[in-house]
Amino acid sequence: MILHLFKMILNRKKTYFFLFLQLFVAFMAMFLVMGLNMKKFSNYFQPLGYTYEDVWLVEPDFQNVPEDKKAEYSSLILDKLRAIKEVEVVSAAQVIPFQQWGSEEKITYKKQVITALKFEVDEHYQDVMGIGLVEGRWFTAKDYVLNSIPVVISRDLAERDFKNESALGKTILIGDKTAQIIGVSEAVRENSSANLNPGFFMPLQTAAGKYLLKSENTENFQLLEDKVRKSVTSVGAADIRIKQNISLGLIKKYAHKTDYIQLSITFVVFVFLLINVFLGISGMFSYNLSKRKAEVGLRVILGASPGQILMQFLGESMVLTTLGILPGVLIAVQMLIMQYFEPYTNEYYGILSIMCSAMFLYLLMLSCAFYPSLKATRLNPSDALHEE
Amino acid sequence: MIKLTEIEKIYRTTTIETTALNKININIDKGEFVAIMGPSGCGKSTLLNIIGLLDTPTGGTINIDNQAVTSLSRKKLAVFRNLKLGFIFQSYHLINDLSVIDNVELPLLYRSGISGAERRKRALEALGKVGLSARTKHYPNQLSGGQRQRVAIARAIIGNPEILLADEPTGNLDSAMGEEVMNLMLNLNKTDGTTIVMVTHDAQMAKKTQRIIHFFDGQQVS
Repeated sequence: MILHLFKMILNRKKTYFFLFLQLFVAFMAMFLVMGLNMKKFSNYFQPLGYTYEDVWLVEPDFQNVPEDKKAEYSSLILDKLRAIKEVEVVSAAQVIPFQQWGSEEKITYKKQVITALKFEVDEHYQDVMGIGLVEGRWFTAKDYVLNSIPVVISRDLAERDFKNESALGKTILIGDKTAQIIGVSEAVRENSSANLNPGFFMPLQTAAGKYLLKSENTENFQLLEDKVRKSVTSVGAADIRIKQNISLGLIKKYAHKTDYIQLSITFVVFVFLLINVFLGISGMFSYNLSKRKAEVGLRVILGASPGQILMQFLGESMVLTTLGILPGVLIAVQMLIMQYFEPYTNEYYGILSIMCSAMFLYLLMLSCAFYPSLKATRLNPSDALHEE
Repeated sequence: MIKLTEIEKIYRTTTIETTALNKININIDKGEFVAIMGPSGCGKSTLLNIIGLLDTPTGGTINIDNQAVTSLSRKKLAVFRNLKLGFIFQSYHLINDLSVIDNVELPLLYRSGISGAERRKRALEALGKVGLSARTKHYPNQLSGGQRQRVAIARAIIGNPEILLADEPTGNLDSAMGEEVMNLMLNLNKTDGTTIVMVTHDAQMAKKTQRIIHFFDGQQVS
């Protein structure tokens, strides 16, 4: 029977050309939408590697401050912020979750050049962000006087580039400067939807532009904002303004808003595409079956039961789907083998999205074919035979 | 073999009632070759549809091979048609997207327990009987009218049916081709003992059968 179905479809390949094309395009669109969003979606359920709930961001604007005064004012602001009663710890950092992540840096280990994200932070960053250590320790102010830069690498970097050996105590080159790995932290991600990206923490190389405050009062927005503003202005320089004075929780909300908008637009376009495909295929099925009434009549006369007629046309829809999506599956598999979509998707989510897309199209085709096929089973064979 | 008792067929619309068959009583014996003749619209094809279980009578009973078939379900009717009946039509009704051999195999596709190889073997045998062994891979539109009708006959006999129902099988053919097809059916009737009921307008063809039933205005007149 299956062979018969394939023969029927292949001998009508010209008639079905546009249907094949529609299935191919629908499959590719579904595969891309699913493949590129599934991993992103799964990231929401992965740990960030730090806590942000009790953290507040302050970013003074030093634009109008003379260059030679910047470091002095920066240090003064840091002291003032530390003096706020509600603030537990303050960290000066260039790395702000949900907003400004690390920059790519080449590091050399055993003459091998590798790329990783560089996070410039101070010695209090771990305490403020609650970053867990897998082994070793975080750097302290005492480490700054050493000849080599103290570095804490993330666990995923250690696993990627140091494999089975311990990274602790290893010397690497960051640019042309010598650095020593003194700790391995938990892997960290920029935001809830971001992929893991191996990186390393090192002390600030330039004056800090941003401060992260750990406080249990971050929910009391007005109180903390007020106190922070007073502290910064009390430094005395009229030229210093405050660019950002906000909790990380709110920053996360704004960052995710963009994600949600993107996802919503993708979803709406995707649903629109599917409705079009559904209507197109349903119409094509109804039209094709109306052109094949005589054949239905003949099959019934030759002994096909209503169930066999239904299976004939539903089977044809399955064969059509298989032939329509086959080139798409081959292309998608090839792209996955070539790691074309890394890091946005990986083999697991790639294969999962191929399976989901194929399954969805099979179900879509079945639903499109079901009603016209059912109508075909109800045809009076002798009347149908004479309808050409 | 075929026993029709008091068969009535009335087509009703909201305003008109048309009697296509009026109290028909016919007995056709096993191995008989019967021709049904009559003017257009007299009910010949309706009768053939009823014998072929493609249409249900408004009244009366049908017994085929000692089995009352009027009350069978659609599924059982399909099985019955597939096992007992073979059909030949004036317009051949071959599926143009299938090759000759695939067309011939079609009835066996709906019969359980027959393998693909067995189907192919029996299709080749049937095509051999109608003299078309050399055209198995051709498509219907590559054949002449006579050849197409022979394919249709091969398709009708592949399942070894006890009854062959032919609706003007020579109607679309020239006299030579018609003669050829008629001889084929006579041969099937003679050698295999197949019961044949043929609707025809052609008196010459009808004369070759064992019995002629005449119809007029939905009634059997002789």
